[in-house]
Order: sequence, then C-alpha cells, then structure tokens
Amino acid sequence: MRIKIFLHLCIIMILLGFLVWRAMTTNHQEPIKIGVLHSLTGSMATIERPLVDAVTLAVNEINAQGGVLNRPLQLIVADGQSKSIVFAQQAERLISEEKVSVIFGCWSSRARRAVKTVVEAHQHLLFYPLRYEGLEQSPNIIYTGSVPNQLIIPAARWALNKFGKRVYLIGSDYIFPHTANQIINDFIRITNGQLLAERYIASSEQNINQIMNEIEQLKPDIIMNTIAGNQNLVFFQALARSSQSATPVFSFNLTEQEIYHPQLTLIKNHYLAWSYFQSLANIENRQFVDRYRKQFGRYRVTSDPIEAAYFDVYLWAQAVNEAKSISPDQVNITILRQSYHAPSGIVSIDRKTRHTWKMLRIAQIQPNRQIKIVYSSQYPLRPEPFPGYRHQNDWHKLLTTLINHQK
Amino acid sequence: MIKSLLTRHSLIRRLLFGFLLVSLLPLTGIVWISLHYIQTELTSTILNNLTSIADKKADQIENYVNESRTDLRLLSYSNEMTIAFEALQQAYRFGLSSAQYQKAYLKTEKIVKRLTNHLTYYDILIINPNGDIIFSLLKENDLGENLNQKFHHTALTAAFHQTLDFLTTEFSTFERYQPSNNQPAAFTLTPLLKEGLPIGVLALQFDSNSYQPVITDRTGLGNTGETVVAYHAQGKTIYTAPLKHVPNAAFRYQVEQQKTAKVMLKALNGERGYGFVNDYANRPVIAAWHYLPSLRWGMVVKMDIDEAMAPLIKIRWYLKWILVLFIISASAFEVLIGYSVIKPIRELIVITDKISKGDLAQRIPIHSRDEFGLLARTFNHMADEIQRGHQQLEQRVNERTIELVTQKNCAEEALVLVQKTEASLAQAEKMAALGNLVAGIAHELNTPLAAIGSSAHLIQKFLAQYFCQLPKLFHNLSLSENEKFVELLIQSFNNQNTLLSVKELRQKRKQLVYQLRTQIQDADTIADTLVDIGLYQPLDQVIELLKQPQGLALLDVLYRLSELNKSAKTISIATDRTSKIVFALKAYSYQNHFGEKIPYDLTQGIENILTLYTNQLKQGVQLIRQYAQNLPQIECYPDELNQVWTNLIHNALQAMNYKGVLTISTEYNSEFITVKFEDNGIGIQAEHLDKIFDAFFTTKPMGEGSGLGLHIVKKIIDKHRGQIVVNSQTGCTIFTVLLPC
Repeated sequence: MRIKIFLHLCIIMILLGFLVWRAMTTNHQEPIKIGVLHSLTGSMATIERPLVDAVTLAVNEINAQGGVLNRPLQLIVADGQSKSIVFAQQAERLISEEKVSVIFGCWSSRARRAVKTVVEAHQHLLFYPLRYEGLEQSPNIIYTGSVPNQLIIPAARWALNKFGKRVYLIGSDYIFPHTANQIINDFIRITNGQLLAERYIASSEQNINQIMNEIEQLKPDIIMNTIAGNQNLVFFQALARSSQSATPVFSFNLTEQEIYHPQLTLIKNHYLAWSYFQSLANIENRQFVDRYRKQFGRYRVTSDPIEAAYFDVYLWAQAVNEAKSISPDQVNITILRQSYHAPSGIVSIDRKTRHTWKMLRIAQIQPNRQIKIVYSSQYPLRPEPFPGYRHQNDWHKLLTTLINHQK
Repeated sequence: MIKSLLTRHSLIRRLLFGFLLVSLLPLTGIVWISLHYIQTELTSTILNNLTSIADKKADQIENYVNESRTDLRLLSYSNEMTIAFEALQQAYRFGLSSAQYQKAYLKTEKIVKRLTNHLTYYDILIINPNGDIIFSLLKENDLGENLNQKFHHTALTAAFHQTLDFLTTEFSTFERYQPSNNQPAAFTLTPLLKEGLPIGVLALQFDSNSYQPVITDRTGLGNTGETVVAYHAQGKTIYTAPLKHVPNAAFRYQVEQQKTAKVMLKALNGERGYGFVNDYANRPVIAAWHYLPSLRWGMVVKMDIDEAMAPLIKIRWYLKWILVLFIISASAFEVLIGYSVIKPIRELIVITDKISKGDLAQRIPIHSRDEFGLLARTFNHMADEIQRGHQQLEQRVNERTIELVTQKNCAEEALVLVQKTEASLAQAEKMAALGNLVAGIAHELNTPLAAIGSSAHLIQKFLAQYFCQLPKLFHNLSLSENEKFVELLIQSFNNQNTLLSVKELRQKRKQLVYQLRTQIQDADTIADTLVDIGLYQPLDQVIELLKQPQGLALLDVLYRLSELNKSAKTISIATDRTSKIVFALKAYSYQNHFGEKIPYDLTQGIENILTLYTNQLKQGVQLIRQYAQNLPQIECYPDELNQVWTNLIHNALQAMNYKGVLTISTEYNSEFITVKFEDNGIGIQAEHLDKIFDAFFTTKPMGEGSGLGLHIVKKIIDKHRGQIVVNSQTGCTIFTVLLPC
C-alpha cells in the first residue's frame, strides 16, 4: 500500500517535472500573424493573386518546418481592390486591428506609396516584391524587386548594343513607364542613340492604330515597351499585323505569367528582362516550381514577382529568428543583414539602400511561348535605387514632376 | 524491488537511501536543469557574440566599400578632376613618355593627391573610355595598358565596362592583380561624367590591407577564434585571408568546391546562420557564417568548441564537485542522524535479547527525552511487569510441579497396578479358559472311568459267583457238548464285536422269540438273553443245547462269559479313550520353555483343541473341516497359537450357543497361511467391530467375560507378525487369521 503511494507520488512528480520543463522550454504556441496585402478584386487581381499564393506556399513550408520562433505563422490576407486608397486602409487595418508583424504586398508603385505612408506612420515593416522605377527608400520598406540599375539600365544597354540605337518608346501612362523611359532616354543619349518617339497609351484610350502607323513609318531598330496589363494584347496583335512585326520589342512591364495569356500574339523578337524566369535550371528553382505547382495547380506559372514574394517570407523569417522577436522595430534591424539562396540565386538585402542584390536575366520568347534566357549577369547586381549618374536631388525632382504630371 | 529496498535492508541503509533520494533527486534535477539552461544560454550568447562579430566585420567591409564608392563618386563630381582628366586624355595621345603627358600627369597627380588626401587606398587609376589606363598614382606597370587587351579577363575590366555602360559606381571584388606584384587587389570604379555623358572612369585600387585588419581582428574571439573568408572561382574555393591551420593561405590556399568545408559552402551559397559545425580543418567549432554581397565572399567567424564552451566545462566541473561534496556531507550527516536513531534501537535490541534469554533484571538506560526516551521508559516499565509476572509464574509453576510430581507418582503406581492387573487378568482369562476346558475333560474322563469301574465290578462278581462252578459243569458235559459250547461261546464273542442298534436288536429279539416259541418254554426270557449274548443264528445248536437238562445252566454260563468278555472290551475302549484325552491335554499344554519358535503343525494343533472340545461339540454342533492338504509347518510359539485357536473356537461355540455349524478352513500360499473360523451364531454388532480387540471390551454380562480374550489373540497374532480380520453379520461371523509362512 505504501509502495503504491510511493510509486504514485513518483509518477506525479515526474509528470509535474515534465510539465514544468515543457512550460519552461516551449514558447506559447500562439501563431504569429503576418499580413498579405494584394488586389484580390479589381483590374489587378489576376496578376496579383498568385503573389498571395507564393506567400502562402512559403508560410506553409515554414510552418511545416516548425514555424518561426517555434510559433506557427498565420496568414491574414487583405484585399487592396486595385485601389491605392484601399491599400492604405487595408494596411492600416492589418497593422492596427490584426496586429500583424509584417506586411507582404503591393504591386503597383501607387499602391506601395499609399501603403508606405501607413507603415512609416506605424514604424512598421513592408516587403515589396516588385521591380519598380526606384527613386525611393523608405526606412520601413524592404524592396526585394529590381530597381533600374539592376534591370532597365543593363537590359536597355544590352538591347541598344544588340539591335541598334533608333528607339521607339511606348508605355502605359503611369509612373513606372515614365521613369523607365526617362532612364532609357538617358542611355540612348549616352550611347548616341536616337529616340524616335515616346508614346503613352492612356488606359481608356484606343489610339493603337495611330501608334502602329507611326511605328510603320519610323521603322525603329527596337521598341522599348512598358505597356501594362491587357493593353499589351492589343498592342502585340496590332504589331504582329503591321509591317514592322519583326522589329525587336523589349518589354519591361510584362510578367512571365502574362506571356502564357493565350490572346497574347507572339512576335518574332520579343525580349523580357527580369531577375527570375521559371525556366531557370538550378535545383532551387526546379524544386520551387514543383512545390508551387503541387500546391496550386499543374499549369501554374511562376514569375519574378512570385519568386520575390516567396523569398520575402523566408528573408523575414530569418530576420525574426535572428532578432528573436516579431517586433517590426527589431526585425527592421536584423533584416538588413539577411541573404538567402532564392530560386533566382543569392539574394541579399543591401544595408545601405534597403534594396536587394539581384541577378539580371534577359530572355527571348520562343515561338512555343517558352522562355529562353539569352543573357545573365555574372553575379547579383548591387541595387542603386537612385542611379549614381544623376544626383539624388535631381531624381527626387524628376519623380515629383512625374507624379504631379500623373495627377 | 522497492519492497525489498523498503523492508529487506537495515534501517540505516534505508534511511541513507531515502534521504539521499529525497535530497539528491531535486538537487540533481536543479543542477541538470541549470546546466541545461546555462548551456543553452551560453551557446546562445556565444552564437550571438559570434554573429555580432561577424555582423560587425561584414559591416566594416561593406562600409569600407560603400565609403570608397561615395568618396570616389564625390571625387568624380569635382570639376577639377574632369578638367585634369581631359588634359591627361589629350596628352596621352602623345605617349606616356611625352613631355605633354608628363606635364599633364604631374598636374593630375597634384590634383588627385589633394582631392584624395583624406582617403585610404593603394593606388588610383584613371581610365579613358577605350580602356587605356592613362593615370596611375603608383605608376605600376599597368599604366598605359589597355584593359581590353592585357587585362581582358580581370575583374577590373568587367567592372570598368559596367561602370561605363551602366554609369554605376562599381566595386570589383578582390583578385590577384599582376601589376601590383600579383598581390590581391580590388577596385572601386566610377564614371567621370561631363554633361551626363561618361568621359572616363576613375578607379581606386585597394590591397589586402584594406580588409585584412578587419578579418584578422580577433577581438572577442579568444585564442582559437578566427575569421575565414573565401570566394568561388572556376570550381574552386579560394581563401582570401590568413588561416590558423594553413600557412600563407591568403589567395594561395585553394580547395575543390566539393571538398570545401560545408559551412563555407553554405556561406558562399548566400546562407546566413550559426551553430556547431566543422571548419576547413575539420575541427568542431561553433560558428556564425555570412555572405558578403559586395565581395561575393563567404565569411565564417568561428571558435573552437572547447574554448567557447570552457565556462560550461568549468561550471560542470564545479557543479560536479559541489555535488560530490554535498553527497559526502549529506551522507555523513545522514549517517550521524541515522546512528542517533539506530543507537537506542540497537540498545533496545541488545536488552530485549538479554531479557528474552532470561536476564529479566536488564533495563535500558534513558539518555534522551525524545520518543526513544519514552520508548525506553515504556520498555522498562514493561520489563518490570514481565519480571514481576515471571516471578509469580515461577512460584505457581513450582507449586504446580510439586502437585504434578505427586500426581505422576500416583499415576505410575496406578499404571503398575493396571499392568499387573492386566497380566493377572490375562492369566485369569487363560485359566478360565483352561478351567472350562478342564471341566469338559473331567466329564470326558469320568465316562470311561465309570465304564471301567462297572466292568471291573462285573468281572469281580463273575469270578466270585461262577468261576468255581465251571469245572464241575464242564465235567458233566460230553466232549461233543463241550465242543458245541465252546463253538457257541466263540460265536457269541464274535457277534459282540459287531455293534447293533437298539432297533436291530429289537428285531433280532422278535425274530428269536418267534423261532423259539414253538420249541421252548419261556421263549421271551431266553430271547432276551440270546440277544445280550449275541447268538442269533443258527439257532439249532442253541436249541439243542437248551434241550439238554443242564441247558439253562449252560446258557447262563454262556451269558456270564459273554458279559465278562464285554466288560473286558469296555475296559479296553475306555482306556483308549482316556489315553487319547490325556494326549490331547498334554499337547495343549505344551510349554516351550526356551521361548523360541519351533516348527508347528497347524492342523494337528487345531485338531487337538477340537479333541478337548469334543464334549461341547457333540451336543449340537456340526463341525466342517476344510483343511488344505500338505499345509506347511510354521515357526511359531505353539502354546500361544493354541490359545488363539481355543479362544476363537470357544467364542464361536458361545456365539452359536453350542448349536450350529462351525466351519474351520485353512489355506496357504507362498506368503501366508490363512485360517478361517466361521460360525453361524448371533454375529457381532457393527459398532463393536472396531473395538473387539481392545482390552476389557466385552459384550458379555459383568463377570462372565474378562474382555481380554480377543485382545490377547490380537497381541499373539501381532507377535507372530500376522493379521486377524473379522467379518460379521447376523448368522455369519468369520475370523480370518493370516500367519506368515
């Protein structure tokens, strides 16, 4: 009888010890909330939604490996509705109400700028995965897309060298095409090239015939295309029908997934420049594509923004683990030293610019819509959000002019 | 196991075990948990420390690069620089040795020196858009060379083109640079712009001194710590700073990419991390690893585990000894406490032992006022009580002993008396049986003796009355008459030998009367006489004799003589009978005076007894003998066995009240002779069956039986190692005696 009591006491003691041990060693399993802010409705929804998938994939993978700081990640998805004001409201909601630790999101620069004011006001943290026009550096944003010196400048130089210096610029009428064209213009000038025309398609306007006539008339060596979204379908259809259908076109605003749009007319010499293409042969990328397709569908296409949205989560998770805190203040410090072997190669956050060292790749669209990489930088390029050949103040002035012009 | 621990071992061991368990378990638990925490914390601290050292180094290098880029860019913004460049570019067309170039060089040198006064660098180069190095502060042999020719494959050339093409400020990573004695060199390059157009490139050259102090700085890394940096080139990992375990490693030590330490591969692969790994010399280290994007280098900051974990080892060592000390002191303390508890218990045991061995005067000395003191007092009190009780008991025992001795003596006397009585009773029984027997025998003897007496009297009477008349009678007879007389006499003697029953005699007489009636008077009387004489046939001679004058006298003489003969015969028979009885009696009372077993014919023994019982038997008992043929003789005490048979036969006869069938049978096999006495008397009641062999058990009325008969029988059979079994129901009682052959 006494032995029984003794044994029971022993067992209870061991159990208690174990519980105390558990309580002491394991953190509370409360999930870490992270926000994803993209347009799930509106004109941008089609192109932005896969980025939510990319973040979801990374979150699932991290949770499967035990989460961050032994806590699972909980995704709070917010819809920006393709409107910058909604983006700002949703960012506000994610930060103030959902109390997320970080926001991954935004596609357009307009949306980013709207969110920027919110995250700066809250001293919060936003990961922005898109290549953009640069000329910005917020202390509360980590930019993981390419800036012009990593993409537009080298690609334009490459195109100018390869196809000739008589350039026709065409784009949608918003900030990125304008900035991009400004920079391209700089390099046309540097290389003694000739800017034939700089045309913008207003989003509502169907002046494509006018432009086609001009192109047919000017016969440019190369067309630098910064048209966004579905306007490309109209443009390429018209171009393919025109006499200048063989003119090389360099698209800076078309993502890989849009190439697979069945209504996109293929032309002979169509080039894209991105840091990442789905067809990259390295193991990291093949596995990434497999996982992405396994989770979201066999025919899904990865693209540069998707890849960036994906590795953003990993970079953030590394920074959190290193900071041992989910507080944006803390993570904002540790994030600046992170590097990660992403599907596109080594990506490192540049401490000085808060942008990301990235590869540059130029690809040609094959007749079967396959992507063939024709040029690749030797190593990741240093991000320079304000290209050094012009003073930072000049860039700011330029940007302000452009923004004002937009308004 | 626990039960045996709790009960089997001595109290002191159990106390020791229990105390150690209770005190050391939490202690070891706490020690273990704190060790675990210390280890975790220490590891985390070390890793944090290594990470921050690595961060600091990475920052220093990155800052260095960025500063050089900013400085150089600022330099490129200066108008003086642009003017100097243009002059130099103009003069360069005339060749390096031309006076114009020399002049322009000196002017440029002056400007450069002044503008870069605050900068640290190895050399400064000015390159024209064609790739010609048109200025070198150190005037190394790269001056005047074209980058697209001799240095075509260098990082400098690549960076130069990027700078010129993309108008970026580039940093070419370190590699061996032939013009600087093949020492490692890196360059920061920035375009010289005039109205937004590139007119040339400014390049700052750095040697390994720019980063090596940062890398070799071992602040916070202890004795074994070091920083390892390397980069990938053409499938090889090239280490770019001195290594502890490899002499002259910087830019000389190369390892195949596959053979590179995993941690370095991770760093070069863009991974960032920390933990326990093996270094390039395959030594276990604790390390933090980074990727340096500006240089495209992997950096591993590491310490040997032994050194890093030294505090832990020290703490472990201390804790171990503290634990040992604690165990020893706790054990000692416990032993002391244990003995203070055990001592009174042992005293108690010793005293109890002494008391239990009879020394009731023992008392426990009272040392303390605690429970043991109380126990001792209680114990002493108990001992007092025991002692008092013991004394009383002893007194009572003595009294009782005396009583008991007296009683015992009485009992012994009684026992002797009983034994004597039993013996005398047995003897009395024997004598009673004998007496019974003797009464029969006396009766038996009386009959022949009476016959002899009457016969002798008859003879005597004859001799006295007739013997003297005989000669006279015979004298009167003729010779033939004499012969006829003698003939009749002989006939009479012969006939007397055949005994006839009364009925036959009566018939003979009737016959005689019938025959004689016609010839002789008084035929009835004469017939009687003739029958007595035994003369029945042929009557001619008798009638002839009777017709003679002296015929009646002759018949009388004949009668007398035949009587005489009859008497003599009776005497003879009685004598035979008597001698037979005497023989049986002699046989019965056969005494073996030596007390030894002698051979004995069992059948003859039984027959002798039966002879003695002839008188009782002949009254109404049918005796059936079923004796086995050739029954072997057995070794025994005959007189005792005779007593057995006597008792059994006697009991049987009594049970049948001397009327019935007595069957005596004997059988034998190789082991036993079986003797059965079966009677059809009243039988023995079932409840008496198991008592009949007990002494003094009898169902007979008081004074008739001693109750020892069958008891003695049983004893005798036992003495012969035999068995006696009784089976009884009304009308059939069988005593079976088994005797070993």
